[in-house]
Amino acid sequence: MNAVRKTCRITRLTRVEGRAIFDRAVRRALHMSGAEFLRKWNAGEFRDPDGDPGVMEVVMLLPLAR
Amino acid sequence: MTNAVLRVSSYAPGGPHVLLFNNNLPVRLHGPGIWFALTLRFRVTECIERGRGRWRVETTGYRYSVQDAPDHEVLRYDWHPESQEGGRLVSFPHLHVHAGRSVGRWLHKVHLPTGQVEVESVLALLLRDLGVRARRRDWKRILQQAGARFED
Repeated sequence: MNAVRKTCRITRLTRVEGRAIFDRAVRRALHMSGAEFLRKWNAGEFRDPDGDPGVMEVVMLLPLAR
Repeated sequence: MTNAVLRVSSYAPGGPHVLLFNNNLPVRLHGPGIWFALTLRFRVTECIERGRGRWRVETTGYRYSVQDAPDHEVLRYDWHPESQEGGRLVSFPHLHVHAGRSVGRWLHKVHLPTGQVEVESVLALLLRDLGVRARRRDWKRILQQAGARFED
């Protein structure tokens, strides 16, 4: 991921947009709210997260929620 | 392949930050019925090497998902060493293959890119994930000493 061409600008998300995308991803993939996912994740309630595509989609987005 | 755009959560020094493709929604690629989703994690660090610019972007995780319908995954390349909370996730790069509609149609003839894979890692896969029984109780220690990439 070295270069961004001058003619190709990558826009930045606001914190509000990031949290909205996180929450939407959780609802679409796991049918719960972002807050509920964070509570369950922090409590270790996902037994096999690596084997669940929905959980892994959301886990990759965790920086948007923190 | 697509006109979908990339966005980032931040360019600030530090991280982890997230690079999103199509606002995290799967994108139908031009051509056959294949959808693609991509998420990258990265860090921004100050570069100490001369002549390379002040800032360096370092990839610290990825998820590349190939789907044969929206949210119907066939393949997923994963690397998420920073998401290791509680040791619940493996930290080495790996590939997931799911029983999507397309598996029988094209999976047998495509060439899935991987890094070099040591035989010790494949033996660990057989023993840990596929339930093959080892003849020795200390197989984990032996394979780890030999350089196999796996975690309990």
